[in-house]
Amino acid sequence: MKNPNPYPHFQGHHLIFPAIIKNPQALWLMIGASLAFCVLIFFLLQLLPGRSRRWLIIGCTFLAGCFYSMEFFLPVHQLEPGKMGNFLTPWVEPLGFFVMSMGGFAIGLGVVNLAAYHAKAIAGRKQGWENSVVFFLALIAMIVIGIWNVHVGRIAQQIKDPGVLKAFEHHTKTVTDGYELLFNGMLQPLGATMFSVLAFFIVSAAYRAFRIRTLEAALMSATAFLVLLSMVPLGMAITSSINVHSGYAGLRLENLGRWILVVINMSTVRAINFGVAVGGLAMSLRVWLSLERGAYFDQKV
Amino acid sequence: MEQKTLSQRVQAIDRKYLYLLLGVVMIAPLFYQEHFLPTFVSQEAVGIYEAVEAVPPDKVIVLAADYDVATMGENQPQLEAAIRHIMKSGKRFVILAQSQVGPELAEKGAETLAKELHKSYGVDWVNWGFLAGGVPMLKGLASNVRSEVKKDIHNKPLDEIPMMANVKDIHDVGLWLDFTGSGIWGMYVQFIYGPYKVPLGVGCTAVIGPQLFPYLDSGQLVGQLFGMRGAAEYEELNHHFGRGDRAMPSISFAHLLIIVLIILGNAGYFVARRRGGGAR
Amino acid sequence: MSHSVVVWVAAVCTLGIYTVLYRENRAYRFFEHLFVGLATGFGVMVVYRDILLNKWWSKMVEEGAWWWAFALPAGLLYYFIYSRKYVWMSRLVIATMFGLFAGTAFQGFANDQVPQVYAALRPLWLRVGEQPTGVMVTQPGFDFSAIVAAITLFAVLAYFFFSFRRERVPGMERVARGGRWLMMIAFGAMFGSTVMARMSLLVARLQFLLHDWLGAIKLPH
Repeated sequence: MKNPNPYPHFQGHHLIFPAIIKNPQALWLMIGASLAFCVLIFFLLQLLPGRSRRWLIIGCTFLAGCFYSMEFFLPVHQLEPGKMGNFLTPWVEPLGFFVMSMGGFAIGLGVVNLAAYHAKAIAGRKQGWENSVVFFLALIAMIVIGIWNVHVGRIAQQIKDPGVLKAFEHHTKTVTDGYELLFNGMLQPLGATMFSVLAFFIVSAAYRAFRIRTLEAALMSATAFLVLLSMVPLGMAITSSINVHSGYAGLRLENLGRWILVVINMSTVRAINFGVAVGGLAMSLRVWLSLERGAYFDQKV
Repeated sequence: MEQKTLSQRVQAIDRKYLYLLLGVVMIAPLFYQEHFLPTFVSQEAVGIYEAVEAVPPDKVIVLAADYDVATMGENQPQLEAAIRHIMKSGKRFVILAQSQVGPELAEKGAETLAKELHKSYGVDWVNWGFLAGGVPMLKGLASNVRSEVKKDIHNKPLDEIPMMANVKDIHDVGLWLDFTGSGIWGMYVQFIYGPYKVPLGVGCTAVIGPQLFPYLDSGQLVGQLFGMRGAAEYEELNHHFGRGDRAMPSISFAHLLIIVLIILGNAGYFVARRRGGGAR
Repeated sequence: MSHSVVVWVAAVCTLGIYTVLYRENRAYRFFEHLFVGLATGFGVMVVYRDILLNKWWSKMVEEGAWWWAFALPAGLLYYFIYSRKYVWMSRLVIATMFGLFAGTAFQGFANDQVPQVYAALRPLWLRVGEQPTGVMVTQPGFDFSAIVAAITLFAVLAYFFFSFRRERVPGMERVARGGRWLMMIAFGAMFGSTVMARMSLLVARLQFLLHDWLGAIKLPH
């Protein structure tokens, strides 16, 4: 039976990649066997002494870091027409998919933390515990209606008959309307409004807290005023009498503000970025080689 | 009880009056429909406009809707202005996002404009949905789209979508536009423009706008839409004024208010300090 | 005025959040918790739809790539962070992810910063003719902007240079102080931009309330 190639870039794929299974029973058997194998590995890993566990973690970190760095540094040759790479390049795709899946499985971490916090608030009848009930109701409502809506969409996707589709959509209108209410009616406006409130706080801070006590503060405020006006049509209107094509066009507020952004701000950000990038690279190297210290990295295994 | 001086009383104005003042200053211009302030289109916005125009017909434009509901006030008008331009130019685009809400918000904008401009899903645009995984995911996606995305946001296999027939990897992308309020654009600079030299533009919030100028200078970015102003500029280029453009007078007067308040606040502070009274 | 339930609910939610401007109150807390719950639930739904169902499950069950079943226990290792006995298992997967991302740092740095270094080294003297930036120069002369940019770059770099004491190099302290002033100019520009960002978010909400909800203003689409 011809083995369909899941990864066309692999040479000799049938030697290193298992066959795709279409038969449902065989498929579930292999999935079950894989999970059982993982459970076995889990229990075997518990037998490892503490020091070996640490070395296992260090080894995993190092190997993981090796992949992308070596894939970048090793010389490349033509893998197929239009594609250059080395022997590691074909693994980029499955690894990307693996990391994406890991990202998906990790979503529960945030939910568990939040749920634990609010559950404690309800159990302990802390001040405002009723709001924690609201949190849970909103969480459950969005998950249930959201996932229900997803499956309604998947079923609708498979209906070819327009009449049946219309009847189905009518039948499931409650779910789609409910989702619309939760997303467009609540989540969107709540999120947008939360951050728009900052505008009011900026006004209050500008009046009550922004004090120009030093030369540097004066320099910062003067530039802020210039840029504030240069970015909006009002500022352009103030200096609109200066001809755009004249030698004094640089004095128009929008041009002055732009010059500050494009020259001084640009160079400042670039200089800061140089330092941040080098620091980031050093930090990555420390993490890759497990040299990093701190509350998390120094935890006992 | 000691009498408060004028400067002290002015400095102690309840913040609720300041909020009310801001509200009035921003609401009033919204009622005025005429264009009473000049517009100016920056080079950065023109850069994105020209980059869209330069995309060959056999390539797609990727719109990365990496923004959240928090920044949709700025990013949504930018995205919609870009989609309008792309649709009117007859180009095709793909929506993807590394933010969870991005695909829905972008899809909403695309659907509304598609009705107006008579475009259809699957032929003129496709939505790949939310993609987690950061850099590894991006590298896999660039190498082979179908290794990371097999179905669109509506659960339809990509191979059944007409416009996806010739979209295999990053070489089929003519332009990558990122709409974001976070630093995610840096990932595209490093792993989309860097290795593949795909033209990259960013529609960003004004908060992160200044951080992009070094990349505009070096040519790593073809252009930038700077906050709501960028949306207004793109609408000007599209010759279709929308929410971005109508917001600018309100923002203008709000900026003027901020400047006046800073000056007044400091004036009151210095007067109070000179008199030796309750400096804040 | 809108007749849509969704728009009315959105307006109520918007105004509910704005009540915090008057003072801290229970209505604001209610809407705040409602938002957190909805946002968390939405995140779960999207991950389920776009990652777990559409990609992982589909690849494994519909395409027959059974080996992706290994991703499930690997992903579930994250949750051992809550167990005191098995917490080290979570470090396996977290450390692996750290390693993978750290490995991408070299390519990221090269693609990000090397062009920046090239761009930073601009000619300070402009010759007649078309420049690399596309600008046509008709008279030779100093490029004022390039000079200011170079001075700013080196002054700011000097400010953050701590490998040796500044007093040991004559003039270094002054250069660093100049860098600080130039940075304050840049921060002023950033402050101005931040103000515009916040005002933009507010005006977007006002447009919703006045146009979509009350119909009091006209907005082109």
